[in-house]
Amino acid sequence: MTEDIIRTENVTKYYNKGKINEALAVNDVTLTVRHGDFAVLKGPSGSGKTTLLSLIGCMTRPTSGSINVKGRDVSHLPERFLTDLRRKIFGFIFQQFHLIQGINVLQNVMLPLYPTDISISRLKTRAEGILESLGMSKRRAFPVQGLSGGEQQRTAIARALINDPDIILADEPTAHLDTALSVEFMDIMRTFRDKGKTIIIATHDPLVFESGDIDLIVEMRDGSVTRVLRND
Amino acid sequence: MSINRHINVLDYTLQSLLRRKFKNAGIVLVFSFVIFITGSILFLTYSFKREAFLILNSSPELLVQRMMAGRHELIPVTIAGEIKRIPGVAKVEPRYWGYYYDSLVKANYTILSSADPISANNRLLKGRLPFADEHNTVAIGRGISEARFIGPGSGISLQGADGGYHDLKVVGVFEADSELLTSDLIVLNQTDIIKLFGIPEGMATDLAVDVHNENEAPVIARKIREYFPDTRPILRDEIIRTYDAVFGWRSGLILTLFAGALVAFIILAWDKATGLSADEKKEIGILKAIGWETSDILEMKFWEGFVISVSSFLIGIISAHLHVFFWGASLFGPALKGWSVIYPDFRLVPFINPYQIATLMTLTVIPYIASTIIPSWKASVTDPDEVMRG
Repeated sequence: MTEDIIRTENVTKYYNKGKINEALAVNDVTLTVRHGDFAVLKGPSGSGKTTLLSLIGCMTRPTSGSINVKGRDVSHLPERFLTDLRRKIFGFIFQQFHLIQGINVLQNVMLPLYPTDISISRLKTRAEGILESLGMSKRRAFPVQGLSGGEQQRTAIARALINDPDIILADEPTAHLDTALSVEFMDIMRTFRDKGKTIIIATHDPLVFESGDIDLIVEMRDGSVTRVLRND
Repeated sequence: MSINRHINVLDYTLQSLLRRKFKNAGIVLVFSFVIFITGSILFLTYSFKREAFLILNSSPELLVQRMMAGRHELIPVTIAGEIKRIPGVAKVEPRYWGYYYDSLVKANYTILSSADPISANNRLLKGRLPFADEHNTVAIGRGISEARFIGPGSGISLQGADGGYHDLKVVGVFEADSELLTSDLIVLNQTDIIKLFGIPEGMATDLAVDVHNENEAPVIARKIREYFPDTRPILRDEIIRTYDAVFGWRSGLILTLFAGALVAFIILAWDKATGLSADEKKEIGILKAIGWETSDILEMKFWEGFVISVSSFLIGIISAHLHVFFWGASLFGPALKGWSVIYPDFRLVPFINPYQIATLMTLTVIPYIASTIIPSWKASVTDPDEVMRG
């Protein structure tokens, strides 16, 4: 049996708790993601998928409930340890890609590992290898603001892979892509799934959640999980 | 922790600075200008004070002038013998000097006897002073030399008290590194000066009193005042204090004129201290989300503030140094050195007060670094997802 890599138990997340603008983003979510899963969090805008993805990715702490990543309860860890987990276990692909403007493709890809013990030359070699595997070698010295949508997406993927993460988290990655690029993105994700990575995508794009090889579909609405489908 | 991590963060910081090069160049420009102005004023004022102090330090501890109805009057030389008998007095010498208005160049000269203490500053002289027994020869300041187009070997005519003109031969020109006190100076033989000014026999301009113990000078001054109520003893310390106050006041005036630049800098620093732009906040959020720690972000911001403020400080202070000591403080020298036809040619000896430099650095570099770090710290301690949501 495949081991669980992520397990949430009764996770609830409020923003601005106790204030006039209090908002319940995630409500009592219990969920299990197995190692090597290709999982999708599906739901309309405001359903809580991005917040759940942030909670799983240790970017924020739950108001109540627990989150277990690779067998370790991370719900109450200090910020420093959460950062360490983000750096070692997760690779993030954001909705707007969130590349740092003004620096080139290679520097953006190297970014997550700058504050580590790795030497610049080794880091550069590693980043160049990943860019090559994604067909972005020729663009490595190009400023990111001049890239096409597809190139920005591949740069964001390369950055997510620089730390060789176990889990890739992607928030609405196809929201700003046309069909061809969305298909290409899914193909790239499949290759990483085949290499043993766990992939979790938050999306409301049918092209993503209707593709045939998704292992786990978690449907959400108003912060709660309404249905969980597992294709075994 | 290995050094690699710090090198990597510094590497990223430098790239980060380059991508906002126009904004950062603007900050460096304003910052350097403020340091340049403040540094120039500090250098100039301090050098003046030091120069004046050094020159006055070699002058007698006490000067005794005679007052008549509140104005300066010639003093009988016979008093010197009586002052000499006051315990603690080492030497009393009459001094002969005066101011001379030259209508040709519309300037005031200071005329001094060659026996007077200026000779102690002959480190400043190129050429020579008139000998004690040499008549009708003068050494002149470079300001006079340039105003009258004369040099060693030329002649200068001065109108004496008798209405006639005294033809004097120039034998030396003060071509000093410092011309603070020598630019408008004419030094000539004691007998010639007495003749020029028509000083009556047995009278002098004032008396220079040397004392054995400098600490006793105020006591001796009090005694002189008691014995000779019509005299005014002036302590050397009082003259030095007057110079300090005059240059201090003038530097304050210049600082006031440039207060606009200071205010602009404070607004700039305040603007930085009170918040980050949306882009900067977003960038911090991205860095945190992809695995940067709060301390990494603070280190990056520290380097950012350090590179900008220290390089601005160095640019400003080096420019100020060149401006004051090599280019004669041409921007605001006239206001500081005084208003006159004969300006001292400004090549001051570079006296630098390390304490002043350290204070200026502390008051500019540290607040700037703090103003860079504090808002980033506020942004970086929040959850990265909140930062990214804006």
